[in-house]
Amino acid sequence: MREEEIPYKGIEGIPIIREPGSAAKVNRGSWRLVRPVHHSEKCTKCKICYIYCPDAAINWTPDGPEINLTSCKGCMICVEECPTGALTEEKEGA
Amino acid sequence: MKQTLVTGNEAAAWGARLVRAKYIPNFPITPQTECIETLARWSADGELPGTYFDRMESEHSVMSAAVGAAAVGSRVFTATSSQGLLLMHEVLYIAAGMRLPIVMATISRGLSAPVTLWSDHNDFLDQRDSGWLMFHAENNQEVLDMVLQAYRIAEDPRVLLPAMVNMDGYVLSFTDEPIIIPSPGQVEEFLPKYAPAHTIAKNRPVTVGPPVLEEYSIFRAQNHVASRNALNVIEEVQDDFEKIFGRRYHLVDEFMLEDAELVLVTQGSMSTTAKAAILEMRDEGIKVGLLRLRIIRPWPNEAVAGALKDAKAIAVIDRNVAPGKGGIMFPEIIETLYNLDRLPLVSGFVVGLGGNPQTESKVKEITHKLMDDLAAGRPRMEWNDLEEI
Ligand code: SF4
Ligand code: SF4
Repeated sequence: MREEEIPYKGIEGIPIIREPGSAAKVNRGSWRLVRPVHHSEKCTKCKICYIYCPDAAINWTPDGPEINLTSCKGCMICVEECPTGALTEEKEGA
Repeated sequence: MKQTLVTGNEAAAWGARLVRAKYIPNFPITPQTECIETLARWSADGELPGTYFDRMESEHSVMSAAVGAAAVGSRVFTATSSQGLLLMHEVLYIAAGMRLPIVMATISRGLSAPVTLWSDHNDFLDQRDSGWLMFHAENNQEVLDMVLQAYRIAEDPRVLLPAMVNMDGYVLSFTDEPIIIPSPGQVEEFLPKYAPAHTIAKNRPVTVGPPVLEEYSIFRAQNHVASRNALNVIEEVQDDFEKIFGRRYHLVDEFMLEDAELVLVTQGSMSTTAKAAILEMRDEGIKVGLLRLRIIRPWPNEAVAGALKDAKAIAVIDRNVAPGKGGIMFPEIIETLYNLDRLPLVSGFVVGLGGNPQTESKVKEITHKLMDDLAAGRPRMEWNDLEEI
């Protein structure tokens, strides 16, 4: 497009998202290669995984951690930090 | 009209005071320090009501805080120099990309290593592609006037971009010059209260500058178009400025160009010295004139080409260097002339790095070298500081 044909969009041309919390509506975990899998029989409910997850992808429930797979990026920090081996790595799509 | 003696640093501080800047995040660095000290003193003495003067721990934080404050709709001023400007570099792109009309005075100083405290334009021109509007003043009156104009231009809905007002360290920053300080009433008439076009407000949460996918190109194009729009806006603002303050500015500063066969292209305070040298050379019958670049971004292509089209030979005098290439403005001038019917000869001179004095005799020497180049039909690219070393 020729320079003079590019319309000036005013404030519509400024990178702003006006709707708060809109990220909650999209799947932010679609490009995950591996996922954490929880084994409740080994879990002591110590909450370490819940605190360590950099993406706040772990919700805390009375039954222990619940991994929100629309947010989890598969970084495996929770698996690494779990002291009892209650979280393990599994390949996506395997 | 009453004139007051102020340094370039104080002139910039007066600009911030007169525009009633709400937020001034800052970090001191030579030769900008006096600008910030002046504002600090006024703030401590209660002379800046409604202004939050915020001392920070680094220039990166200063510009980050400036972005935050501008995003919630405050009029922001800050100032820096040299290494401080480089430390801000990352955040400068963010300010421009988020289209936040911050105004910053930059007080040029050469870059390390080796360390110099003195002026050249590499710090300022290093920000050339950041998306900011870039203005360069010749004297202390222009520093103040440019700060006032910069806010009007930056905040215009057709522009919405941050702006940098540059002055040369020491030569202007620490030199007293008599200038007219306008009344607050005049400035209020020229620059009304800031009405931000887009803000983060408590009751209206938005996300600015989020990650995007293929839309990226659209937003970069909008940054570009906004900057091109600024050319028209600058001309309107200069008309308004003249009506209210009586001082006239143009996109480029033309000095004795009507019949000039030789033209020197300069930037900043060295232009004043060069103009004095030109007056003397005119007495000797040399047809030489000067084009001073004052608006660097957006690039006033037509104004520059128009001013240079009748020249026989042009000397682009760069107080900066792009190692491995040459002076930074040298190729910009050649590119601007490229589509003219008749091409003047263009030589490039790198001068005055790290504050090396740009004297009248050096300007005359450059002019004579340019005459030699014209006679020989062969342009040159030369380092003018090195002969005495
Ligand atoms: S894999 Fe990473 S992102 Fe996913 S739940 Fe564990 S810590 Fe959070
Ligand atoms: S870190 Fe392991 S043991 Fe602790 S709560 Fe998480 S899964 Fe359970």
